Amino acid sequence: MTARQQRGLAGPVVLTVFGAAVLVPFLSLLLASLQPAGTPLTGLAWPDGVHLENFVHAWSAAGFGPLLRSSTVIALAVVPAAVVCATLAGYALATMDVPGGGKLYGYLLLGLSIPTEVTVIPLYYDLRALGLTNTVPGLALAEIAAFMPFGVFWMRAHFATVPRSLIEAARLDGASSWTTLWRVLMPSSRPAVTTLGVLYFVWSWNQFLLPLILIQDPSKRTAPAGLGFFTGQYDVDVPLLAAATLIVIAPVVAVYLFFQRHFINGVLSGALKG
Amino acid sequence: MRHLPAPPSRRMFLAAAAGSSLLVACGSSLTPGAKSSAAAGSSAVSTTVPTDKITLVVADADDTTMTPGLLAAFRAKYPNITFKRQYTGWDDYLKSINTTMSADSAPDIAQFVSGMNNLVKGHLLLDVGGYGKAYGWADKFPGLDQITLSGDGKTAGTGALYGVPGGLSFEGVYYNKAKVKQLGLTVPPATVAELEDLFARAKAAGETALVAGNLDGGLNHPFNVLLSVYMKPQDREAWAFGRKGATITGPEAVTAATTLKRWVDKGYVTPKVNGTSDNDATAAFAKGQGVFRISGNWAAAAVAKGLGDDAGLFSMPPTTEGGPLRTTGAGVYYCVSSRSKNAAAAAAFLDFCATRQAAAVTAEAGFMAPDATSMPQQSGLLGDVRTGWQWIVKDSGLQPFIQNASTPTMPDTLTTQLQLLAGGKITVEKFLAALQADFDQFHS
Amino acid sequence: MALLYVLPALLPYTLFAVLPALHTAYLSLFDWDGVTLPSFTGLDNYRRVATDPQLRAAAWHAGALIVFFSVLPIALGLVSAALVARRSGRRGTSLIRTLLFLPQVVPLVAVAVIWRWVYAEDGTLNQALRAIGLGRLTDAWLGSFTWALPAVGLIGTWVVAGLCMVLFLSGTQRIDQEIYEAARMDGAGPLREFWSVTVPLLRPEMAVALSITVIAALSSFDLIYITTGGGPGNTTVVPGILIYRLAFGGGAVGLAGALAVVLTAVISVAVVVINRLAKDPS
Repeated sequence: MTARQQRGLAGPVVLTVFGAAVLVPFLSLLLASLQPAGTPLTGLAWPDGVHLENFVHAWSAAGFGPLLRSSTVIALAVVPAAVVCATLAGYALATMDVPGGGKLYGYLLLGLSIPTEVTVIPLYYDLRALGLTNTVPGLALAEIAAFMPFGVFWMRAHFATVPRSLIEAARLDGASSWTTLWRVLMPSSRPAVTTLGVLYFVWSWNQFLLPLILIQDPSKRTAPAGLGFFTGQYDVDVPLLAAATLIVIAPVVAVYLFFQRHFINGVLSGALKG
Repeated sequence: MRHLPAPPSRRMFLAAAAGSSLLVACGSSLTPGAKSSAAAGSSAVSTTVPTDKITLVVADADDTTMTPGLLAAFRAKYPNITFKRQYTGWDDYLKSINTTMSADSAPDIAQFVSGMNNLVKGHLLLDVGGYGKAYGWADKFPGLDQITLSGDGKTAGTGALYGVPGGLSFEGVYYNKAKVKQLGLTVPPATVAELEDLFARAKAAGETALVAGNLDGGLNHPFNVLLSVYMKPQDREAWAFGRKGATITGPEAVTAATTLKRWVDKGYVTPKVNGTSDNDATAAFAKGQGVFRISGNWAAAAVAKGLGDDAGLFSMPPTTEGGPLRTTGAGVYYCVSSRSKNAAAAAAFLDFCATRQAAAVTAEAGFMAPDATSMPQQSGLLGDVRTGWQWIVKDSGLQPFIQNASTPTMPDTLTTQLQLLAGGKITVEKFLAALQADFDQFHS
Repeated sequence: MALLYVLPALLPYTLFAVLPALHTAYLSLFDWDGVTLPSFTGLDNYRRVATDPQLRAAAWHAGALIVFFSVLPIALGLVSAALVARRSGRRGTSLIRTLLFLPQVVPLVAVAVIWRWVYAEDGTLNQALRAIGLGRLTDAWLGSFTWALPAVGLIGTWVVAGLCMVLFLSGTQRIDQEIYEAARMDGAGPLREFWSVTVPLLRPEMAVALSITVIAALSSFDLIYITTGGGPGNTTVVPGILIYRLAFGGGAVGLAGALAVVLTAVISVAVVVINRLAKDPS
């Protein structure tokens, strides 16, 4: 084998190792969900027989129907709004002379370091004063606010890489900044926007502490709250917990897979070059 | 001069007025919280169960069949009262219950857990002492001192009554009957020293003598029980209940901690105990690993399922043969929101927990019924548990966990320090001093 | 005019993230349990933060986590992004990419469950060690005073590496394929191509990744809370854990707020430094 061929092999080998490192823990999750309910788990163990009924039990025990529904409602309220806000702000901060833009950007970035594990308590009282606790709008606003710094950061980094000449050309053609954004820049921004949307969806779906404190009615909380049903004070039912975990992550993985294909196509069709 | 603006004094006055009213409006929400001055005195108390249609909201973290079973049994008796149960997993419950109880929509009945003491100070829990007197709860329920709290919520065992236990729990010594027989060990041991001797012989035979997990601080079970055995009841209670001036650094506590450390050092306890969770330890014991395990009756169902007829339990032996039996225990306590509009109905449910019908539900869920004598006969491990409970109640030997009511940070402190002790990183004296330091900081 | 574009982001952010944070900072001047009315204590909480014996260890651990949350994921993310980008369109590539991002989509509670039994005494890791004849190296990793911090850190690496890879991938798609072709014409192998084309051109993405991951390291909380809870002893305690314990367990929300203010200040300085360095074209 020549050196060149060896090098050609190195890539796939490295990627396969990475893939395996990610996959093995998931494999144990999958195998765990097929064990008889109540089995304590140790390492990778092949189940004796496939116990799909775990999924049925997990579904009904945690009441996943309403939980998944409210997770969906909240994600739908949060993701589009947050993506649009972040895109507009990132666009302006990267391509326009915003008065005090540097300071504004710094101000937004500061939000990345706010530790939610304590601010959520004053936030609860603030929302209570506004009558927004135990409501979808209250939680959605809190999530949009919490996600905004990353989104602006992400979209600004993206728009900063767009060639200045492209924007100048659009302006010379008489396009307003609004038209430039949607007509000229958006097509090539699809991967960045899609990625942000998927990340927002995942975070909103998996968001845990905010719904727990801001929503008092357990049946109105989000999907991960269902996992708490299988970790009691003294007892953890591993197979049911594993099955519940798969139920919670299935929609997120589906969304990710769907949009990923979408954005590969965007790239392959050469939309990137604008 | 015609365009002279309004006199500055008036504008300033308006601005100041607007500003200050804004400040006042903000001021109250800038420092949010329930007033601790206004007393929410329990009004007219009646033991008549209301007959109009009522819905009670119940918040709990009880993952057994007990709470839903009790609610169903109560409803069967009083069909006009329906329940809306809001179950939350244990960890999530601890995080969210204070804000849940602070909301206008607070549930009528809630499971009481440590950390809810501040609700007492904020008068968000109903003082049910009046109902207690009217119903005669003092004679019906053991362990009421654990939910009797001082006005600032800092000390238990004194002050007003805030609830009753639906079911109680206590720590005992599980053993694997097959292993005990095979090793030729005689159970139950009459003293702690004899128990330790059994550990030594199990270890000599190559077995894990005492199965334990300390990843999440599970060594607190044997430690609490050893404190129950060695410390004078009033000293132990004073500390566990957070009474000012109490100490856990005296010679008896040193003996208890030294005993635990010796068990670890001599290899009686699960090796690498700091890397095993308490749940995993129960699971391992139920799978047939090891010979003994000190845990509560909540583990009985899992152990019985795993070991079947080989599962047994005896009470933690005293220091001297024939001495009174003492152990550590807690329970699932129910309290009532001071915002509840249906306090009389809620109190009726609390009272129902002491009935014979309730005892059947409680026992089936694996808990000890408040009325030990009305628990149905059971065989096997559950029979052992029932017998153990009756002995403990007879000797009034149920003592609180030291981490539940002493200080709010004690659960974390105890876990940290037990891991250091089991890992051989600190001495017994430093271990106890660290617990005392946490205590003194809160109660100074 | 340009401000109008920023406003929709600024408004909810200010009202529902910054104001509650400022509110927390204000309440850090009070003795507050989170339930009853606060009582003003001035800078008392800050005095207690300054003298907290646990804080130094916590800060040290958070610093050490940068290796696992930032350095390793960025290195792994760069390598995998470069490899995936080179192979784009070929069979299996999109599968691998999907796979590497998967940990990012799993709720942390589930991550903890998965990894607790990877690291358990009879867990997958020890199984693997025994299988390759290294049985004497086995340990109960999360309970080991030596290994708990690296073990928890590696879970962070597992979670974050996929995010870094996606960040870098969207960067490589920006890089003109012609630059690669030119480099290849010059006879550059994959390694040289990586160092002289991919890495320099990904500078903006690396600044983003570094900022985000350093923040994740310094403010880490959930992952540690659900795996070790800070143990054994204090070996994995980080500031986030201390804040959480005070706010939720200890009923000392004011004190937790003071600690949070200090932590936020430290992290902000770190982010500013990173972004200054990223701008510097050297």
